[in-house]
Formats: sequence, C-alpha cells, structure tokens
Amino acid sequence: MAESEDSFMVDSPQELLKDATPGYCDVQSFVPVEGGFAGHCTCGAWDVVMPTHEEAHAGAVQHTIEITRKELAKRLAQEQVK
Amino acid sequence: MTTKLWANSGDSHFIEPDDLWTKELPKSLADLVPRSVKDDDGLWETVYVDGQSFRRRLPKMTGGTKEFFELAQRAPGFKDFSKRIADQDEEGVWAELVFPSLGMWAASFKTRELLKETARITNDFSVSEIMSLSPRLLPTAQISTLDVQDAIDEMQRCAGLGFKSVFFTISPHPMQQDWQHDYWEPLWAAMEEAKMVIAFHIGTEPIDMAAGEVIGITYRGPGGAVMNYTETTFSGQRAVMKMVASGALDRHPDLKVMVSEGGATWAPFLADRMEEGYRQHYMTVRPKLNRSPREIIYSQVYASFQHDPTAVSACRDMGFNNVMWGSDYPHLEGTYGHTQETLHGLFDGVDAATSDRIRFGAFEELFPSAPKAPADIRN
Repeated sequence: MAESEDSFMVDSPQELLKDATPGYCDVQSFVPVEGGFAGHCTCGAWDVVMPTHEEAHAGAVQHTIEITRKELAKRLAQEQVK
Repeated sequence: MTTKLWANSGDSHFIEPDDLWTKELPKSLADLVPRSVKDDDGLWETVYVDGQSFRRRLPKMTGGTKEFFELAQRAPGFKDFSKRIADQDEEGVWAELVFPSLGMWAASFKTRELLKETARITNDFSVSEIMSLSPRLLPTAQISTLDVQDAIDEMQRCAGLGFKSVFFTISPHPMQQDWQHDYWEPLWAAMEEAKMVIAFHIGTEPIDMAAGEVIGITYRGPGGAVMNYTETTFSGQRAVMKMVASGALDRHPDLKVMVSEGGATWAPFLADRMEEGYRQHYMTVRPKLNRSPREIIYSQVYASFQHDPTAVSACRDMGFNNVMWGSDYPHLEGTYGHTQETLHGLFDGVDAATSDRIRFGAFEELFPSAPKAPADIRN
C-alpha cells in the first residue's frame, strides 16, 4: 500500500466521512477488541472479528471486491474510449 | 478598475507537515497519529487514527470533482508557508485566525498522552513557523481535552507563548464529558482569566468506530452532497447552545466563543429559540441565568462565514454584530482564487459601517492585539 500523497485528511473528519451511508459499502471500520479486530461495513452485512488488523483489512478488501472490479472495469473502458 | 476589497479572515488553516508529529514522538505514539494509506488499486483509502482505522472509497476524480480538487489545491502557500503572506496579499486578506488541519481530528484521539504531545508539538511549531512569519497570522492553540488539567496546563503555556485563542472541536471524545458539564468549569475560568478565545470549528465531530455504526447523519441519492455538507454546520450551533444553556458563558462574561465556517444567521435564530425555551420552561430551567440567552449570544459569541449572502443581514438587520468573514484558506471550500469576486458580491452596495464591521471590526474586537488593517486598504 502506498502512502497518500494528496491526503484528504487535511479536511475535517466529517468532510472525509460525509459519503458513508447505511446500506452501502462506503466505509469499513476496524476496531481493536478482545481477540483481535472487529470489522464492520456500512452496508450492514459484514461484521467479523479477525486476529489482526491486516486480516480484517484483507477481509474488507474481499468484501468489496466486486465493487472494486466493476469500478476498475469502468475506468478501463473509459480510458479505451479516449 | 474594480476597487480591491480587503478583509480579515476568521477561518483560515495551515497544513501540518507530514512528519510533524512522527519525527518527535516515540514510536509507540508515532504509530497512532492520523495517516492515510491508499489501496494499490487507488480506489480505496485506509485512514488510521489512534488505534482505530477505517477504509473508505475515494472520491471519483472525474469531471466536476476533479476540477474542484485541482482548483482547491492550487494556492502556492498550500504547504509552503513562505508563500502564505503573498497569497493573502494577492487575495486581499489582511489578518487570519489560523486553525490546524490534521489537528481537527483531535476529538477522535483517545490516548491521553498522544493528544497531549501532539498538541504540544503543534503549538511549538505554530510559534516557530507561523507566528514568526507575520503578526497578521494568529494561529489557534491546541489542547488535550481528554483531561481538564492537561487542557488548562497547555492553554496557560500557550497564553504565555502569545496565542490568543484555543481551537476546540465541537464536542470532545465520546468517552469525555460534553461541554455543558461542570467538569470543564476550571478550564472556562482559566481561559477567561487568560483572555483566550474559544474557537470552535464545524465538522470536527469525533470519529468513534467502536459502536460500529455510521457516523452522524448521512444522505445518499438526490441532494445528498448538499445535505451532507449542511449537516456539518449544525454542530457549531449545538456547541454554543451547550455553552449558553449550561451557564458556562453566563458565569464567565468575558469568555468569548467563535464558531468558524458555520455561517452567521443561525445566531439570531438560536437566540430566538433559546429565549423561547428559557421563557416557556423557566420553572424547570437549571441553572437560572443572570442574563438572557440572547444577551449572552449577542455579546459573547462570534461567527464566521465565507459566501453566505444572509450573513450581512444578520449584522445589519438582526442586530447580531459579531459577524466576521473567513476565507477558509487553503481548504477545498475556501475562497482562494475568487476572494475578490466573493467580497464584492457580499459587500458591494452595503453601508460602510456594516461592511467594515464584518470585514475588519468584529475580528479586531475579538483579537485586539492583531495588527489593524492600514487605512489605505480599509476601504
């Protein structure tokens, strides 16, 4: 993973999370709990507890894999049109 | 040639250097500072804040969004402080109240030592890198609100260093007591004595993922972007409501409160509603106030805005005299690049007294040590 060069963290926290909406896979959180990390998605359909943050993060990546694939395919198609 | 209008800004920011905290903190704390890391696909970003993290979809950089972001970050002084005064002179901004940027995540910190140390580091940085640039720049101090004595100690240290205000998130961390509670009374007393202004900034609610729920109220679909932004402005009003109704401002009549970037007409509205509530429910109101909510708001609360056309009316027609303009430089919603267009749109045709009050006077009253704008630009 690469450090963000143009981080949006310089905006307010609410600005960063303004698009997090219930029912949609907008944001996954990873919170330290006993036994590891609790992962939760704003879609409401993904709640896990994984031993490490890395595993919880990987789970989130897998949970949103279809969204990622569709978006990448869409952008590739747009590039090809250009 | 159109006359160049100048104004003080009650809402500006600085961008912290990427390594400001990590280079000074021990590793155990450095690992907890806010940072973001993009997924390799570039579509997602994981944000880390003090032991918790969340992964979010990045905004799509296409069309209007892409143009907006590119325009928003074109200020030469965005990260190069040596160019900041030149940016302000170009735009017509005289003095600035300078809030942090990354520091606005303060309410999301839950590790006491981390918040205490990052506040100290940032305050020392502000003295050496911002105050030193020009007396026109008034950086806000930062304090830890995870412990009231930590807050008092750093506030007093900063008062001695020349700070005139303290940046406050609109509410503290959820595990801390909210601003209306007596827990904070020693801090309000100390700030009044030190003549330090409470500077709230909207949009700084704590992010606490422990509940596993969506933060705040968010909307999707038609109107979502506008509604989500509008929601962020209500928090400053709640902060003032708490400070007034709890008696904090009534007990400390020389303690001043600023709400930045939240507009201005909410203040007369809030005064109306609180007056009504106080009147209707007087028998059960606790504590009883020595002054009315309206009198407290109108005398101790100040508000800054950027583009709001009704802000002028709040001052001129509603008697709320404590309105000041703000540029939000160098943030996305700021006026950099169109400050003159903004100021002319707001103040052309407005009577001189109102225009001067909003562009200069309210700021000068709140921060009397700030250099006054020279007569030749005070048009």
